[in-house]
Amino acid sequence: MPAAADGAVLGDNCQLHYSATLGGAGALTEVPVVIDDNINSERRSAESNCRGDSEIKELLGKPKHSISANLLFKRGTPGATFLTLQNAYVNGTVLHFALTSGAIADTGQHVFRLEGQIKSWNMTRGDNDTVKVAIEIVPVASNSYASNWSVVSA
Amino acid sequence: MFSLMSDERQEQMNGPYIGQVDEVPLTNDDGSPKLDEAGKPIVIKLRVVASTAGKPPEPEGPQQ
Repeated sequence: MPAAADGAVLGDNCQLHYSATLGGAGALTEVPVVIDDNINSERRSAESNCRGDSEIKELLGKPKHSISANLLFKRGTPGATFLTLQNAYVNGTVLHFALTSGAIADTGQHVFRLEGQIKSWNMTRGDNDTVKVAIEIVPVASNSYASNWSVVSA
Repeated sequence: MFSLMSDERQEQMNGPYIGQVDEVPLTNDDGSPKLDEAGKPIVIKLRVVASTAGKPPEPEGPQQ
């Protein structure tokens, strides 16, 4: 396998994969064309203002992760992946997702993995034959898979 | 803010832990295996380097 470019950030040719098999060992299928991929992570917080404090501070809790992206499909013939993901959104199916910093089979590539449901499905016909679907994927309480970063090893 | 997760629920967040390696095959849109240039199915190894589940739990055993 070729070596990946240095760095863990989302770079050129970053890819979104999914699997219907949960747990992290299921076969991954690439979502054909994905742009504007985002990994979002934020710790929930509460402000603390106790007697004697000279300033407001924050109590940070556990992180909340999510993936957002824009999927591009061809109008009229969007393909099997479009139907799989649309059905997963409509039926509330939990899927395994892997967002890579580049081509997934390259050694040293960084992969963010998350299991969850598609929370939003916003479909627009942006240009000519292109259908754009903006999605957000979030972990759900019914699933106990821990979101993680992995590296492709030889 | 408070957490709705009980200790028992937290224990169910049991992986993947840091250091775990998953062997994952790649498939095409139609479900067929993705092949390399030699015609062999591509299987990648994913080694976990950071996880919200943290490190593997210490093995339970008799106290020395």
